[in-house]
Amino acid sequence: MRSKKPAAADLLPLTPAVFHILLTLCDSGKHGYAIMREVESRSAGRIRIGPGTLYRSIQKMLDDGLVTETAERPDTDNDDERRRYYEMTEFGRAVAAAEAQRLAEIVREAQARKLLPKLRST
Amino acid sequence: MRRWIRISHRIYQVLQRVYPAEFREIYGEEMSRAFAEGCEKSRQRGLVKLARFFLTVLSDWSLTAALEHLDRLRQDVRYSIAALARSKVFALTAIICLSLGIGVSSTLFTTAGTLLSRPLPITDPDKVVMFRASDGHDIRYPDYLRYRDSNQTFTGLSGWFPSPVSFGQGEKSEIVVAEIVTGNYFDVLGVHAALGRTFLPEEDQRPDTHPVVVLSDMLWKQRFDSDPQVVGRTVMLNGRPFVVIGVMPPSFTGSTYLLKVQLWSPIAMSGTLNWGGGPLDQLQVMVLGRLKPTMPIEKAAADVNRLHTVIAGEQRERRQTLSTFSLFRPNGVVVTSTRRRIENVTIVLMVVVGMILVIASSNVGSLLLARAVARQQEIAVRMAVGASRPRLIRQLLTESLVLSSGSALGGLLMTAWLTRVLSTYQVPIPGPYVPFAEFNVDWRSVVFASVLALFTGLVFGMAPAWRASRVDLAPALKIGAPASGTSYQRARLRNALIVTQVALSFVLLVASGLFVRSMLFAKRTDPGFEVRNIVLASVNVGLQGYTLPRGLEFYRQIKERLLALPGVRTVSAGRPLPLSGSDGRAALIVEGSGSEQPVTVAAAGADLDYFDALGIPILRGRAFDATDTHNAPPVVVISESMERKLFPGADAVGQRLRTIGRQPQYLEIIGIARDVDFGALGEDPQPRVYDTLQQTYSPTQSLIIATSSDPDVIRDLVSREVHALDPNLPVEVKTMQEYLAYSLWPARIGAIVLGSTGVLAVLLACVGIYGVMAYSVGQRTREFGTRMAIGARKIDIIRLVVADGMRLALVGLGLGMVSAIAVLPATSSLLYGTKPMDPLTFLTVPVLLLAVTFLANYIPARRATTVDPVIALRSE
Repeated sequence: MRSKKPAAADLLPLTPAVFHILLTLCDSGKHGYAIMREVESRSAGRIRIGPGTLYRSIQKMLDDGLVTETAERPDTDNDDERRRYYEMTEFGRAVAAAEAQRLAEIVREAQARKLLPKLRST
Repeated sequence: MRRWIRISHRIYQVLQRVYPAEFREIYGEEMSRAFAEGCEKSRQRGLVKLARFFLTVLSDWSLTAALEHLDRLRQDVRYSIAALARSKVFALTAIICLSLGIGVSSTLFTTAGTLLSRPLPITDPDKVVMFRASDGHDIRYPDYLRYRDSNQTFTGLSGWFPSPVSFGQGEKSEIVVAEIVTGNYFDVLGVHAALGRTFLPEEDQRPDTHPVVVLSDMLWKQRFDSDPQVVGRTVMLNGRPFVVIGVMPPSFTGSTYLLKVQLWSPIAMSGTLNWGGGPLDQLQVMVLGRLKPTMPIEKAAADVNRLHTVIAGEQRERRQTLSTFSLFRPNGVVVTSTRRRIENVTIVLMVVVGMILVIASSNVGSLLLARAVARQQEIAVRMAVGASRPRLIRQLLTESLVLSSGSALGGLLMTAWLTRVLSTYQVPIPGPYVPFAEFNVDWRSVVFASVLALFTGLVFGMAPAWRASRVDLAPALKIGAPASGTSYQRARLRNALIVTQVALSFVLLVASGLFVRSMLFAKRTDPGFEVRNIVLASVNVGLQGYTLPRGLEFYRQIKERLLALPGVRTVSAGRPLPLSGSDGRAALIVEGSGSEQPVTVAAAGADLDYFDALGIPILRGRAFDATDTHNAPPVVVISESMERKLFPGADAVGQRLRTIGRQPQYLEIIGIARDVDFGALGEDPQPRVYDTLQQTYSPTQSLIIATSSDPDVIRDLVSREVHALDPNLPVEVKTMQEYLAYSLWPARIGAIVLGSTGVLAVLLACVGIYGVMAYSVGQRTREFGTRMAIGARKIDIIRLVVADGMRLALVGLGLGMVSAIAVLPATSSLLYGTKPMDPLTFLTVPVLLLAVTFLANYIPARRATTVDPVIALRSE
């Protein structure tokens, strides 16, 4: 555990694995395999996180205060008591938002240079 | 399928063991579960998805396990640096000690490695090989031509030999080392001129037709000021004009490492350049060749030996044994005798340097051990909050490795400095053969120092780390708990390290004492001839192409001129001079002895007044005089040891010796001279025969000028007189004292190197002992305070501490004594006038060592007595 909590900007840029885990935890806490599964399905199989990467990232995110272990167990069916669930902290949400903002700025730059088409606002 | 998934799950659990234990304990079960669920879900989607899942997990495992370990290592290194920063004195002491050990080791590795394995700076040096005959002889030039034209395994073969050459340009002339080479020499080596060109084929076809020369970069810079127009200029070699055709690049200095080769000329010019060498068909050359691509060296050697058998058979020479050829890569020093000497010295130095390294490492080991005792509580706390023993050991070992990494850097800096000093050091060898060696720290030195640092860090850090982690938690966690510095096993290890250091220091100090005494003896020793008030002038008129009559006339005139100089008492000449490093040999039969078996003795040439000039008494008979002319019967003077050997109990004066060969000569012994040190200082008397230069003329003579005044006054006048007769004749003038510096050099160098290592060893051992004692005393401060509070005097405390330390020193001395007696007899051939079991040295060194170890114990003991007993008791 770090003695002094870093600022959100200090942690940017996030690794793709960490950002995807945070995205997965936006709505609710999940256990490890559920995170792996959701990342894979959200990216249509393009991003696969192995167990080693997942838990190394979780370890670092716990140290940085981006996530915390939670006693809440959303998925009660087929639940295993030994499973550990993780949820995003407020700080984690702020960091994820900062990273999303950073990526959005990069996308805007790419659109300005016509590398990406501009999306029509609805 | 389910069975396969179960097997793969078990395999994954085994693979997890690669992760660090702490990570595994927290996340291992979840990772296994995630793997199992992933397997099941992928299996439901088909075999391809399952295979892809396995691949993803496998690559993920290999990457993340390594990263996790790296993270741990980074943490350990950061923690170690922080811990060492809090103990700066300890860290600095340890790093300096180990740097010294690694520095001397790395220096030896770099210098010996360069001397023994430096490849030639040419294209593809692995493809170039040299011939070596088992009988040690070089190859006759006509035989070389046969090998060159008939072999099937080389793209080219070249013959060459080094030779001193008189190089003149304007008024300045000097003797330089040249390589006389076949025309294809540079092509075979694959080197090109940096300026101009190398030899054309036609320049090496017919003798004496193309006087051309290629210069070295050094000669071009020193004698031509790097003139870019040097090509086409004329220089005088041995009195004849040669045209400069090219300059070699700075990296190329010829094929004979250690010789400063200054120029190259074709072998067709050897008649001019190699006086006394005879015509081409009698020349002996060394041979090197470039192997054909993919040609193995063994096949080439077999082809060469096949040709050798054919050639030897055709020549019908009846040899008792047919020599064989081996091929070797010309890395480092190629002259076999020099190489062997370097190898022998390297072995001795490896032992010495190894001992220094062990002392330095033991030093650091014992300091680490003492420090671990002081950190007991810290270690206990870490174990109490969950750190495993392997984790602690790893962290402590990392600390040791951080220290040794710093030492590797320090050691390399020391190596860089020492190799620079050695590169500029001039060995005082007489004549133009100036050893030249450039030592550089390269990637090999860095790898060596790093591996050594890793090894010493692990070996000497492991035991202290192991011991430190074996701490009893409960007593150690108590606030104010005294460190269990007297734990039996810990003390045993510490004591073993101290005893080792003292024992090794003793051996090195005795060795250094022996070599210092040897040097002092050599300096004081009487070689048997006059060393003061003698000036020597070496000339070689053969290099200027002097004929016999011209040479005789030159030496007659120069002696007359020198005798006329103020203060000159006698002028004579000799060849070679005593202690010059070279010696002649003669095989003689004693007439009338009844035996036709020749005896080989040392031989030297001596002119009129030789014995008088050098102060060598003629014990019986007479020295050479004016009647011993070229037309008179040949006469010799022999040494007293030769008379004892060949004429035991009889008077040799008037007896005759006979030379061997087709036209034997009969030599009358006219005088017996006292034995002198001719080959080496302090040598056993050698049977020696002197003939007179009046009857056996030599174009190379060393003029011996005996003066009654300061020889430094005469030396410049000598050069002036020589150049008055021939301005282009190079002459080397030295006083006898300067000349003897070469013969004293081995003793002096031995004393400097061994003396330094002895002093270094003692310093290191003392630092180690002091450090350990200081820590140990620091841990017992409360105990001493308590003792003093209940009546112990300061002297009692000091006695207690010093007695502990001196007991160990005595044990170390005893072991050192036994080791010295076992090991030092091997140095007897390197010592002058001193035996390895020299009583004075063996008495002095223990006293000295005990004195310094006493100080190393006394100082911390004294500091222990300054503790205030009240303060000590208050902390209970």
